[in-house]
Amino acid sequence: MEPMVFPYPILTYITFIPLIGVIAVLLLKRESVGAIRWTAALFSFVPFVLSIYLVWYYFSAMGTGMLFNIHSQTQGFVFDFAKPLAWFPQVKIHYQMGADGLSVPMLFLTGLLSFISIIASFGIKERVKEYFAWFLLLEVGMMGTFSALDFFLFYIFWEIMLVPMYFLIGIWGGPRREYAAIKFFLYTLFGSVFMLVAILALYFAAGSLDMLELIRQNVSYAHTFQMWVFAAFFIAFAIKVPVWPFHTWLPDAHVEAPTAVSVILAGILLKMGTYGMLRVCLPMFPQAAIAYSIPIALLGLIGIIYGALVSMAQTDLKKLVAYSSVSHMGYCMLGIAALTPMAISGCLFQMFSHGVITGALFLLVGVIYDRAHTREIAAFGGLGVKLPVYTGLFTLFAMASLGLPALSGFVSEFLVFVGAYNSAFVSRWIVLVAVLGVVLTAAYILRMIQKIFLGQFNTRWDNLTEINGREIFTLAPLGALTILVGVYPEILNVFLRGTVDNLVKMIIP
Amino acid sequence: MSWAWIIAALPLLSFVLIVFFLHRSNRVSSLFSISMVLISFVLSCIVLIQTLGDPTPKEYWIEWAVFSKAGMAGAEQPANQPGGKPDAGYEIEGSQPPGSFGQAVTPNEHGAVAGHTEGDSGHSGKHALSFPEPKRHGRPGEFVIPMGIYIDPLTAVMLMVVTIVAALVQIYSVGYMHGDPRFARYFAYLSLFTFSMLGLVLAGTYVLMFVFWELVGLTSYLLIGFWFEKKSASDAGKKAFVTTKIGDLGFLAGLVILLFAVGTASLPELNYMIFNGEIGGNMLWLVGIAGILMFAGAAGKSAQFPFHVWLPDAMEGPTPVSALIHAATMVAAGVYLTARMMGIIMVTETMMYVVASIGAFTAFLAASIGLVQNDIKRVLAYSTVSQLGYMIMALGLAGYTAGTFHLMTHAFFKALLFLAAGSVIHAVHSNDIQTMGGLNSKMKVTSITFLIASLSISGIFPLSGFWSKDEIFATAFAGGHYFFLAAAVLVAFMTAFYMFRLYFMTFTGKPRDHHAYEHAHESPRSMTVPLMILAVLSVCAGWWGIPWLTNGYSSFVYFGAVHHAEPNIPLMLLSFVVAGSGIGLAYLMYVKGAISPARMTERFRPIYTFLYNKWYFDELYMAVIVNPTYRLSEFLFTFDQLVIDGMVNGAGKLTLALSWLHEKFDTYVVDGAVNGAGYMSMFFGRNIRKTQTGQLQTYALVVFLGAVVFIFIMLI
Repeated sequence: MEPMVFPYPILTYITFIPLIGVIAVLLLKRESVGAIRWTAALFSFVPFVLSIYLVWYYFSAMGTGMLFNIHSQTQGFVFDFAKPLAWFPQVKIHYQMGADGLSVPMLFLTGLLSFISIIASFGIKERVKEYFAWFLLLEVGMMGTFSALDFFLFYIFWEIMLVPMYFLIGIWGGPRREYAAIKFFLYTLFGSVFMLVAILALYFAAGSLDMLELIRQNVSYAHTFQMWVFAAFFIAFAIKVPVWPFHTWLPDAHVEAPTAVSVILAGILLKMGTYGMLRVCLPMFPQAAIAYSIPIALLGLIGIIYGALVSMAQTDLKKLVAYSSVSHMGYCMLGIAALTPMAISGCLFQMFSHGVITGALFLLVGVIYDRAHTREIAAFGGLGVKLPVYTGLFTLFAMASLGLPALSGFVSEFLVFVGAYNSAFVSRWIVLVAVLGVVLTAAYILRMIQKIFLGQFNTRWDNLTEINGREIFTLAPLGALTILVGVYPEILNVFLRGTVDNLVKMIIP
Repeated sequence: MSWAWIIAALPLLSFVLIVFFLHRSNRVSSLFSISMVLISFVLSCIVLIQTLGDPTPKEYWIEWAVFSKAGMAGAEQPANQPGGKPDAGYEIEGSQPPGSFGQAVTPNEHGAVAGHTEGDSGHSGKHALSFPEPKRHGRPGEFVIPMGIYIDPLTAVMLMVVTIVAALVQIYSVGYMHGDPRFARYFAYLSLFTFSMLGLVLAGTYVLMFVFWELVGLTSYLLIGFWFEKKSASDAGKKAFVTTKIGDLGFLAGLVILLFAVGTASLPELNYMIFNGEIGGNMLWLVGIAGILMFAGAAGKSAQFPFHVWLPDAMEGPTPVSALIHAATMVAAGVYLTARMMGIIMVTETMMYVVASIGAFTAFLAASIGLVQNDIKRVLAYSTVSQLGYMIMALGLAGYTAGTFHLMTHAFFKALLFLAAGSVIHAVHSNDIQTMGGLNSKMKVTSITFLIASLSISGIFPLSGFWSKDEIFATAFAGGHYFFLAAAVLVAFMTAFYMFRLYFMTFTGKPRDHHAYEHAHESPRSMTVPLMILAVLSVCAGWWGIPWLTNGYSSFVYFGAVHHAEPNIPLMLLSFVVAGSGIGLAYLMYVKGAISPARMTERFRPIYTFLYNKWYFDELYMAVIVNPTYRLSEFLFTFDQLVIDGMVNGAGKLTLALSWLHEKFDTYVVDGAVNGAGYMSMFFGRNIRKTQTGQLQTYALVVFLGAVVFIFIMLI
């Protein structure tokens, strides 16, 4: 069977067009702020359009039935190139990009959120040129990570993301930006070290850096080897997710980061961790995946409950949303641990919908912060009278976040619960306790809504202005996606099913 | 009837249009909303008529999500697993050993004919529970989550009830909410509420029911907290949402277990599987567990003990909303779900007793609190909780017909009571019955309709409430559950008493607050017309269930088999006498003054205080659940900052300390070595330099001495 190839290397385009954008922005004059903004918007809009084309192309490729043919060695991928391009052939480093059911939705989400974030960043006043240059470079790293199929390439993109993120938080952030930026950078780098060691170990054990080749060889790795290398990868990815107890960089980074950066951080960067687990840990080390199932599920459970309880204690709106991410990503971990198709689909649903919902919530927090210059929950009150549209939008996404049915958050939670309960590896009690998270989430979300929007109107906010057209423009697609996926999940599931099946069959033949 | 989804979709349409376009005009919003729900009502009539003609259930499905079963623990289990002895309340003929519910019976052998059941807790004689073969959703190797609508007689009846009450409440609201700054939004919420409830009624699977279930919860949150500037209102909304959400946890967990155990949540498929013995013993046991958990959800929504605390607080919402919540939507949802779960409830006898006991206890608890409350809406709220307890009890005693019948009649007279109460509140701007009195001369329509509803809820012949209450008594009596019968009779007495206490204090006697009385006036036509329509329904709706009718309610809405109770005249008399004496006592106390209420209060002060404070449930929950949760959350946050983040920062500090040490080591040892090497060479250079004297004699001497040494060495 010939591998399926895109008519032209679309993933390479998606990844490197923002890089051209970086150069274009750098060539512009520092003073021409408008030109810089629109250039950046253009160079993030093109990858977004291409990612829609990618979705469409992948969908039609699935329709041909070639993708998941039993004779296929390509595991549901569509590639940029028929054969990996030789890069440093002496050390077996190749250049290959490909997309499957795991990455197609993520690439689309990256395209969308990057574009939205750049539009949302139009309010940035200082050092505009550098800001957008860094932002576009960040997009290069994200797109590359989701499409790279060679470990060397994967690692490069993974590390590339750190640098723009460091500067974006460290320069345009809040009062404690330097602390937060350094913490984020060092913490992630600390994880990357484990990843590098693990990649080298794999390279010396299997003699390849081709990720698909390494997956194909997964049966040949010894049990102990699997356990160690899995653990190393897991730590690297867990810090990014972040899995409890590696989560403390997250609230700091979120609180200090500018709005758009928070959106990207929560919407995409956290998903890199779970993506890595699904792309690397599970298929390459199936025995270890089974052996570690219960510990991972427990970490997920702790994350769910602990994150929700800690969110309840927050007084800063942004920090509350940040901690809620810890809770929500716990569902992903539970799904990964369960190793059933439904649970893993649930994890992927959660990655997608958490990206959309939390991205939107950070945008909304940014909207109010831009006007009120505070995020203290207690400082507000009764805004529902003054800002009905803003209140409506916030309530919609808050409800999505608490897992209201007919919105996408519910689908993922439900699938994770049902899938994990059907798992042969995860204890059923873990699942039943995890269900408690739902009510804790409801408690802190409603409390937040009540304190900000309900009650007596605080006259201090008399001249607060309603959400504007540009801001609604950034939120509307996210709202539409939340409802669409929530009402008819098959629309996303159709992309996941084949790949997830394949993945589970690799682990449990 | 595949078009039946339109019934639910129309209110949704009106919600969407109002939110996006129509909200600028109050008039257009309300008219559009009302016309949509009226069309829904007409369509519901068509559904009811068609269903009366052909009561076989209809189902229509789409596949909502499909997953592979690879690697699932449940995947390998055979569907028919013999064995296990669940605590079966019913047994299947053809697998004679008692309690062997899980006997493998393939549907092909028996066809669609279900097993005969013998109610050891049920009714006299045998009757067959038969379910037509439903659509099967399972496929080998695949886990299908379908979504769809299911229309059977209960659906048809509920559609009618919901659309009637919703339409009347909306019409009434035009007058009641007149002048409210968020008038259009109110109608948007009402539409969304109606949509959610209609969706719930139409839903053909528990999963879809859960979806609408939560939407019902959301919209009632929005409506209870509609006047959110008042802290008490926003608190009440939150309390309603969170309390019911705790019950919903059970629903969700039960659903998860159910999907694991049987792989389907389709209502008809599940009933069919249960009553055709397709579910193995162990799995059947799990279905029972799932049932208990799901019932927690129903108890939450229907405000059953221990979740009853939210409903009285929900009175903070606008009164028409209370009517809707109490009659046809939110709390009806719980009873409706319990009725839908009949098959699961019947799996174990324990489950049936759990349901019945919770219902009976709640009925008593709420009625006891209702005796002493002074807020007109609160009394009605407790009466709702109490009546819901009745229904749940009936359902627990396998009285599917009785429970749902009372749900229907109750919907009409309770909606009427609330709307009439709203009319009173609208007139006197107070909820406190101690400040009312004598209003019947000023508000004729309100007073008379309220009286009709009170008579109906008290169970006075021949109003609706009499027939449905009698049906419940008959169910308890026929099953031999005399304890539950006694509880029901006691509660009936209490109900009649507090309802007429309310009526007498509000409408008869002398006005206690003259200022309010002077300003009181009858409400506008848009409010009184719905009252009159509901009054007619409160009288007549129950006639559908008169036991002498051969083709009445009980031969239309039934579970598996028609159960036609014989009319029991003594029981009817008992019911009538009990209701009459309750009213009589209220008359003696509050009209005649023969018994002084104040003196009674004094004599039973501790009991009065206990009841007045609602058995201290709110305080208990505050102390045991709410506050500890907050404290835990504070503690964990501190823990997070001090310990977990402390370790991270500690690691950072440790690294810094190490690097300081390194720096010192570097300066003094490593660099010291380098500098030392330099110093040494300098030292030697300086000293050796001294040999370079430049004097020829010295050099000659050194050469000479060196030669001597050399020769000396050579010689040796």
